[in-house]
Amino acid sequence: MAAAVESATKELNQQIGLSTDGSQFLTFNLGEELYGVDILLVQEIKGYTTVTKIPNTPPHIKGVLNLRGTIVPIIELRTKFGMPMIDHTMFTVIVVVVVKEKIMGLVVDSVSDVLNIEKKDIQTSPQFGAKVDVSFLSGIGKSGNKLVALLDLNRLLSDAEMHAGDAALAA
Amino acid sequence: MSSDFAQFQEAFFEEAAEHLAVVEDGLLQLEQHPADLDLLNKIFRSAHSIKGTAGMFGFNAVAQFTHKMETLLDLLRNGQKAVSPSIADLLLTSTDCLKTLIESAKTGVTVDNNTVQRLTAELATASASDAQPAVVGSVKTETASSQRSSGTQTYRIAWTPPDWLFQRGLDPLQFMKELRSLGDLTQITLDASRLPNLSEIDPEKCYLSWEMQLSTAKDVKIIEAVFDFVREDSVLTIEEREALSVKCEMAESGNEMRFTNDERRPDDGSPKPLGEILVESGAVTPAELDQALAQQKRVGEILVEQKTVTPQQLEQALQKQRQQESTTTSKKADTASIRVDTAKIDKLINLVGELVITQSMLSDLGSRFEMSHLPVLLERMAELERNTREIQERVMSIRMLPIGTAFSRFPRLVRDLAAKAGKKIQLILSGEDTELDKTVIESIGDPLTHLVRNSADHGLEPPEERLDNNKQEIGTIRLNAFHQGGNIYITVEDDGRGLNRERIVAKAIKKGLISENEKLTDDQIWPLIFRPGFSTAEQVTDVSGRGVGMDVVKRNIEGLGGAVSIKTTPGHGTIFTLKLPLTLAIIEGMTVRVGQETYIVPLLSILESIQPKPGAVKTVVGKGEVIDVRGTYLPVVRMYEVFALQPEITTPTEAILLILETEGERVAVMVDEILGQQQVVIKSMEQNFRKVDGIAGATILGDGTVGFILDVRGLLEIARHGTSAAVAA
Repeated sequence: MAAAVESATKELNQQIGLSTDGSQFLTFNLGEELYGVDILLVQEIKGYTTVTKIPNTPPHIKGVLNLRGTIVPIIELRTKFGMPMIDHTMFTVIVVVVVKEKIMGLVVDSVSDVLNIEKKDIQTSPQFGAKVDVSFLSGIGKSGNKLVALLDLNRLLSDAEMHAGDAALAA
Repeated sequence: MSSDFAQFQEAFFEEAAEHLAVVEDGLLQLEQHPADLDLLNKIFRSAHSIKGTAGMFGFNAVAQFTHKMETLLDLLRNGQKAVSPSIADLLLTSTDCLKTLIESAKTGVTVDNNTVQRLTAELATASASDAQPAVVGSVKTETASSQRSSGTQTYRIAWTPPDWLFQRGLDPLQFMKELRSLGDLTQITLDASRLPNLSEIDPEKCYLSWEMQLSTAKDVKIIEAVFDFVREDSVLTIEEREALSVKCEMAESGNEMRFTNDERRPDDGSPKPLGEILVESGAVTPAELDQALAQQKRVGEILVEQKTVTPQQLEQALQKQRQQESTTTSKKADTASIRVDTAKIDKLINLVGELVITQSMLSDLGSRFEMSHLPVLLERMAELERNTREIQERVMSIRMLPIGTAFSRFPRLVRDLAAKAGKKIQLILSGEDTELDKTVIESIGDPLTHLVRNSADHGLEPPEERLDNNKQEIGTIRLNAFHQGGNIYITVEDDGRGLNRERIVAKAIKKGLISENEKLTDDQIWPLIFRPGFSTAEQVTDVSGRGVGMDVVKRNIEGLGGAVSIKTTPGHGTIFTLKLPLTLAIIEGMTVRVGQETYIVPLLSILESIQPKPGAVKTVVGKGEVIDVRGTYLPVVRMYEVFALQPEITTPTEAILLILETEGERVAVMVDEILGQQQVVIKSMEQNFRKVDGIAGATILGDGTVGFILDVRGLLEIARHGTSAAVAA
């Protein structure tokens, strides 16, 4: 009896988007690829607006934005991942995330969905050697037939070039 | 500990700091006017408040130490003792000690127990009824044992009242009050272990018993007499325990818990020490336990005795331990809060009310707008602007505090410095009501201290020298603060010997800062003392003379966007003037455009802006550009090159050159156009990103986009050396 209730609850939870085991991810597109970030880190999603470029910063640091009085740095994920740039469209959005109490914006092609991915469906990211840097992926998730590359924002955004001195920038 | 409680604690520390300031200030004044009863009352009240709240929060060490001070203050207040210099001195030192105790309660850093103990004993001696004020100075070196000589005994009183106590309408509190009237009642512990479960409780019965400690000069019989009414059924033991009193003091300051096993602690959930249990069960007497404990040693001592470690190694290890303690505790976040005058808040609320009205009038106007309403609209807009500006000013003023808080530490400092150097110094403060930003006040404390120390130590001559020079024996240091043209000026002035031009020049040549045949004006020479490592003091005292200080002063002040200047007359004294911005949050800036980008240049650093005539810009070594500004060649920095921007104009004659000054250096910075002048609110870049070279901060421009505030110094650095970032980009 108890088991039946449990499985029923679980099913219901999944239907209403609550995950019992695992977590929820906001997914977005970059080209043909699907990426996901832990939804708890997402503060808001806003349309793309022009940003103020910061002088002498790496190209993937798009600039800064005034988010209700707070200066928020904006990162172009395409450039960060070495993908070719495309023109911004009406779907281009900025995903505003909070990592270690710092607010940052990520420019992505479009947002896709909020997905429940259970722990068992997440595998560690494959290694490609020096050719492809996957250090900022926390794993690869499976949702239906979709493959979602899960971003480790802590690593992606707290790396040396964001906060450390300029010495690290040159590297 | 719940966060609510922590919040109250925060309030306690703030309040305690205020009270301490009052006590210290009062004591300093008391030295001048020893018979001022109002002053004594004021000091007493503050001390009493500290004691009361400290006790409430369970900072027993603080409460008990303050109590000792209070006892002495009370005697002074009642005229039973006269304020002597030695008593004032003792009280001042005790205030310092209290400060450390409170600090330790806040951060958890351990306190030097010996000082606490020594002062406690001294205070006790000074307050002892038969000790005359004159003796106080001489008993300084005595320890707590002096309590005995002054006739005070400490008794441990264990009292289990009869269970009919309440039935006869007796209140145990009354007994304790009576005991307190006999002497110093401390360490009252309630034993509620006999309380039965609620279901079995008889509300009319007394299940409680107490243990307390009484320091009194009175006889045991008198103590016993207190309990006369309940004597028949009470279990009452009164033991003399003066031998233990020293240890008790130690326990109070919370450091030597190991040695205090015989001490009842407030029930903090930890099991009782073994010794205590043994005593309770009657297996050993307190005296025996005491003996045993006296033999107990610390691990370090045992190791040293066994020659496993040397005393030096031990000392090092202990130091390390202390460091670790202090680093772990100092990590506790120090939340800042501010006390605001209610009048300021009321005013603000009124203004916000007006703002809401203006806004509703505007939206009303907007909903049924016709061109004929335009004048009304413009009028309303003007009103809105007025309102907004006033609100901004008011909000800023909330952060404004009178500078007196920064000045308040100096009377004490000067008093101590004078005593140490054997000089006679009077300090005159003025303009304490001048208001400036809290952050500025907090950051000018140290530079001001350096300047005052410098004046007291180097500036002012010893009394004999002053008399020889036909000056008053007493040297004067003046601290003044005033507003002028959007800035705050603080002057530190002394009537001492003034700066010695020859000595500074000689030292500068020796240090290689200037060459021997350089002809320098006074204005060029005085700033030399702000160079790192520059000190002309013939001997290094522990006060100043190490050459650190003046450069720190300059750096700190400039870090706040201010400037230091010196005026000195040989034989007549020196005036240091600090010029500081009113606030750090808003700066006056010039908005300039380079290509598509808008930058804000701090107005303070702009000397002038020019459009160069053809041929005014010349090149040196083929590349380096200079411009002739009335006979002086200044280097030209093209901003678009430094920041890698797309400019509209690349020919200097069509562009605008801003002549900027930073740290005494001038440079011409080339921009496309000047857009205007405005006040900008500084926003932090570091909050969400990191420091960017050449940029001091960001701000929100009129159109809602972000503009950067130029860091002139940083811009120059990049122009000269480039950054690795520029290379990478």
